[in-house]
Amino acid sequence: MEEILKFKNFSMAYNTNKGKLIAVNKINLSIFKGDYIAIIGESGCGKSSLVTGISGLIPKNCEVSGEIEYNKSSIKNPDKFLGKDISIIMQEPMNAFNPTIKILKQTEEGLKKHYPFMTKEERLKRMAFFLNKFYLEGDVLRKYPFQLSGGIKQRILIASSMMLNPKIIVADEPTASLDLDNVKNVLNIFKIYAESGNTVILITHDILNAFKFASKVAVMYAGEIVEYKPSGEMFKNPEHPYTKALISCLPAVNKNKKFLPVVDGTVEERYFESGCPFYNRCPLKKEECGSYFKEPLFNEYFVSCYLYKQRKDL
Amino acid sequence: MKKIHSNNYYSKLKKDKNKIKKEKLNLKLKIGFLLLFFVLLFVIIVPMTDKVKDIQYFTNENGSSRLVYDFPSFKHLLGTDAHGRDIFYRLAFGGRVTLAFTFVIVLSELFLGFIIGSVAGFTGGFIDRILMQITDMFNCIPFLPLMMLTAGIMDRFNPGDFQRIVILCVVYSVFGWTGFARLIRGEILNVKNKDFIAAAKTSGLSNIRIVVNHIYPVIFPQIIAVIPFHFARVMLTESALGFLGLGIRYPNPSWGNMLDAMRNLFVIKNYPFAYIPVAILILITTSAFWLLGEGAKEKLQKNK
Repeated sequence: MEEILKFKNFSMAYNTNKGKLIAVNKINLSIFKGDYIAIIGESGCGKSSLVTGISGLIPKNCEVSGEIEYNKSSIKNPDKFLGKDISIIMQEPMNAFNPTIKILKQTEEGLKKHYPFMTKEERLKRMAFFLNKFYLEGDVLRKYPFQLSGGIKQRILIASSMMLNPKIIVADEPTASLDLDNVKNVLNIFKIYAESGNTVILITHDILNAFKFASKVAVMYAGEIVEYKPSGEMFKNPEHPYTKALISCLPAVNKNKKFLPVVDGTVEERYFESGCPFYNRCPLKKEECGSYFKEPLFNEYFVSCYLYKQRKDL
Repeated sequence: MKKIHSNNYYSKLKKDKNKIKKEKLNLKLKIGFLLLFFVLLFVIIVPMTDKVKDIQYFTNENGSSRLVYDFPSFKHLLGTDAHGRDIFYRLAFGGRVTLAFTFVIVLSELFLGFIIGSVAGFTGGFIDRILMQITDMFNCIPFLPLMMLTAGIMDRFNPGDFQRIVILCVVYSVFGWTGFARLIRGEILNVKNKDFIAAAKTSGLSNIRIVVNHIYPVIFPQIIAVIPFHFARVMLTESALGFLGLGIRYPNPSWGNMLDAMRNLFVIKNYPFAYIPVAILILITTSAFWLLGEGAKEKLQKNK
């Protein structure tokens, strides 16, 4: 398997009025060709910051350290890679289109830039083909963004980034405003796309669908990836207490499930350097958890928890 | 799940045209366009008739250069000026000069303002600060002394009529772009951090493409509403310069230097036909521009 995207000790911190706010904390992760990775976690844990880190559209008050490597070359200037190599689907479909320009011109622009020898007929056919995949009609293209609903805009956004045929798709909550049938369709198309040798990174709150469609799942908490495993394995046998809590929170129809008492409490800043950030919410904590030294993990799959520290197979 | 046949819908894509009802022009815009249309008609058509010599040379029988104001008659519709030149034709020719002058100046100011404002607004940071300092510097230069200086220097080298107009245009637009630059920079700063610009960046578009294709369509309406006011201002300034003798010189007519007659109290008392038509035409044209600006503003607010 070929390594395509690699995070090396990557961290991001925002300078705010109250002080430094660490969004992404020393992530080490390798992503291979054909991977379909779902990143899950609570809101504010740094998922979207990770996307801005990949896209390079970093705000001015943000400090970045560490590296992201694409095809074994560092992404210092990500503008070169955006579009044809790495395509990013933005989080908010309502604001992602220019309100003064028709959809046709906006979706056409990417094709014009990356496939300059394509004729207009070919471009239209390609657009029509990809829109058709997401159950959209062609007359959508003749409209202004304010004439369309949020779900349609979301699907146009996905289609317009897929029609560039990128090596990596990074989708930031692409299914947030879609119906259930469309969610299934979109995630399924991503799965087929990943199986054909490309890579998809999916960021989502929809845990059940993430486990169902993705091949690997990364669980984020407080800017760290606490557990990274194949999805089936993780769903059957979650190991980190936070992953266990997340999975136990899934709604079940017939059972009266007990919820673990993990929902209250917040992240404390002193645990960013050493110790577990989940310390004061964890039901299984020990005394050493608050102060143990975190070694960087370079394994293919890992659990970042003191309870599993001795195990080398993970 | 319904499935749409791709050929079928490709044809649909070709046929369908988006039908949005376009709002009609409001009253101010209508009147403004009408007035401007009549002024342009007058300025364009009248000089086509064969009376070209009347605007530069004497026509009265004595042929002397004494003060002769002929009252309006069938031969001279609006009378003649001090040197016996037909005011009606001078009005038309002068309008040509003045309007061309204002158009050229406003267009070149817009051009400079767009380039400098866009660069400053979009790149930001150090470049932005330096460009805005330069803009402030240009803003500090007082306008009237500058024009007096230009006129003085021009008189020394004694350029031709056409060259004189070109030099005036250049000086005016080199020192007048600052307002547009500031406006455009501000508008771009407003739009630059919106989500759709970030979305355009993520699809790999270059900066020039983003500015031209995504930012300009958003900021154009605000700027279009300002342009007519600027037209009016430039035209009034040209008239003021002509009145002071700093603009276009005799024997070439312009609306500014036709107002020159008003400098003589004797003329103001006894020969009102020498300056009232010019004043009225300037009034009509500037108010047409003003109406266009106000109408555009109103329409934009309605659309919001």
